[in-house]
Amino acid sequence: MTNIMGALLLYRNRLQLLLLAAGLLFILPFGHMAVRHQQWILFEDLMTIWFCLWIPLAFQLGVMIKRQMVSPMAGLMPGYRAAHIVVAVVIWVFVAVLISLWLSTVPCGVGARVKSAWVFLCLGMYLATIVIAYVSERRTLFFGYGILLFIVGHTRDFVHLLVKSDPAYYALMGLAVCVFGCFLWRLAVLREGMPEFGCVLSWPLHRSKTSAPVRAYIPHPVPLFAQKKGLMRRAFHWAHVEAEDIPGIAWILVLSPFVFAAYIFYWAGPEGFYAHPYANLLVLTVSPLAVMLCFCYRTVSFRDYALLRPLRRQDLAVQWGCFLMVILMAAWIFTSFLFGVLPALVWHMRFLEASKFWAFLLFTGIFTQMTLVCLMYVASLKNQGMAVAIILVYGGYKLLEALGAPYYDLAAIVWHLGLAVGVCACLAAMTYRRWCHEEV
Amino acid sequence: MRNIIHLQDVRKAYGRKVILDRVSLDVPEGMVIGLLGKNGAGKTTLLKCLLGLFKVDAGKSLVFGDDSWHLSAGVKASIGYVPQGYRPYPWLQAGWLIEYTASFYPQWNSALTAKLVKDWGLDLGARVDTFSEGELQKLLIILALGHEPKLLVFDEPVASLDPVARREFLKMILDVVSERPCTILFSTHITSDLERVADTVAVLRAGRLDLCGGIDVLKESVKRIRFHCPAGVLPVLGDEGVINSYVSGQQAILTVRDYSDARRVSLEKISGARVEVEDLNLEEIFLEMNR
Repeated sequence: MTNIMGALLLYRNRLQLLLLAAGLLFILPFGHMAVRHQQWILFEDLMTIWFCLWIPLAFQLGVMIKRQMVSPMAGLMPGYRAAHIVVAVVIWVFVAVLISLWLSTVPCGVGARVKSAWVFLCLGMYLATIVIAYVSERRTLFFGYGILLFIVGHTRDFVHLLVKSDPAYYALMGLAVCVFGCFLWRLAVLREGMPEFGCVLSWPLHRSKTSAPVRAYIPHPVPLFAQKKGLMRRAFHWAHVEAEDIPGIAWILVLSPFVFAAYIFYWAGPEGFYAHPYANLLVLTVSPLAVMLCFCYRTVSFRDYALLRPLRRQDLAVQWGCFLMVILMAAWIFTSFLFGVLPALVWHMRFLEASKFWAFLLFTGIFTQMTLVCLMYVASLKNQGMAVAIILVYGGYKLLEALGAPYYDLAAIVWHLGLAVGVCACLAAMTYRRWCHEEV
Repeated sequence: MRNIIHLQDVRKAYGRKVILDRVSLDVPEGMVIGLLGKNGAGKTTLLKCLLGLFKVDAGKSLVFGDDSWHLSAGVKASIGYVPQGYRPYPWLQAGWLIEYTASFYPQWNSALTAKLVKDWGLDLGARVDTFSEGELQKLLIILALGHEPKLLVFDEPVASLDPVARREFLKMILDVVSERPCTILFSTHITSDLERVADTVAVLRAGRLDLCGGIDVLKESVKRIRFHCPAGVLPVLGDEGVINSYVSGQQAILTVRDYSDARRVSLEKISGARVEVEDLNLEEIFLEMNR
């Protein structure tokens, strides 16, 4: 076996990657059939699912190559880096370039071009996950996700931009290739002594294992965690620990105004808030969820410590559930204010008097909670629920979109709220039972 | 005999915290050298600097004549390394992990790895994440031995092994050394293991190489001297060569290095007390140094 085949072996045995890749490839023949029969709506939907699968795949690939390069063996096994980088490039070329080329041959023009551009955007996120070592993976995920949601929600404008401008389309692809090249170069020279090494795998448990230089500066949070008494105080303890991640905060400060400014700029445009309810639903539900997940990640990581507290398991499960819900509601209020109320205050004061406006915000809050409960349920089934959860969440949105959910009709909103609350209650009860018997 | 490892005034710091301070060490071919030091002494950092995983801040670090930071592929192929707390690709089966590692080394000895797998009772069909710490350590040792390296570096190799596996590991080290010229450097806390297999011991204390030499020479050199003083007052003997000193009842106890009979006579004369000299084993020497 050659070393390249050896490196390829790592991907072959990674179940999540295989499932996601199989999903991507499975959709292609259906897409082809849809094109042949000129079923453009079906084609668009298939491509959206394809896009949704690509996000977790890109993320997993990014994490995978990073893990390979932080291994101590990367510096000691002859030909290790070259072989792994070659394999990563081959996979990228196969998945991204070939499939994008196929998409660009589809004679439907606009849709295919845009979808292939999406592929490159996802690739951008994949690259951001791995290139920008100073940002933790989850922060990158959060920001990448936020930006992508914004773009997905404003597809029509994006379509027009790309269709009208070939240079923009090719510039996007060229940029992705350039960034990918830079990323490969950094990986090829990455060593443990380098400043970015400690942040390459910045989820706390990985970081504590992989980066001695960073470990020397960051106090291990667990002893401090154990001193905190209440669940909420413990949760905020992690926020405090996170605040020590100065480069990460700097990154937030740099990015946030741009995202917000872009959103506000669009929102203030002629079509207004109600023109793209689907987009607003995404922004107002997934963004708070992402904030909540980022905020609670460490707390969730150390659940086993919490289980040692003198408390019944059932009570702890209830506390966990309530805590996650409260954090999510806080995040939802924050994003609703930032993306809903604040722009309305500045540009469209009349919206604040419309009951539909508040009903829509309420709807997003309930839907967010429902999504959280779905996530918690999936996570309780299996610890590696992130990829599945993302697909579920997107699937839910896609379903709502397909059903043409009338967000402005108060009766429909009430009906959806009732449905969401019912689903929430059932899933929460099932999750609670699973938590009570969970082995940690 | 040529030096496989050459460290000269190596310094490494994380920020303001100095981990290694002017460490110099030469390891000739075929030597089995144990690196001894308590937690945080800098053992792992020293090994990583040596292997080019960390860049030294100052000084020189050479392996097979190559600068550690720029090891050639040929030199890398001559090194086997078992890191501490390393869990490679948890989703892979052990057999696949061996195949994967073998693919990077043209001179891989499959018969040797098969024998070790059999001797140590590893299940090649099991995923790495289902292995216990001890089983994982055995697997890592097999991976490090498979390409028959000329230099083996172990970072706390026996910490997770049960007594039987530890014995087998030590026997394996002796076998490896007897079968072919191989230099072995390993860090450990377990001094009895070190005494069993190592020719030389290097003791790191607070980032400095405090002692380095053959184990027998070291034992001959470091002694504990008891002064029986009726008043229980420690005689003033100067600090030269004194590792540790304390008073216990009517005895003053000194642990010294560079002991000689002439020194004993001199000490008796200076103190005016009855003097007893005790031999120390390696563990006692280590404890005295870190008391």
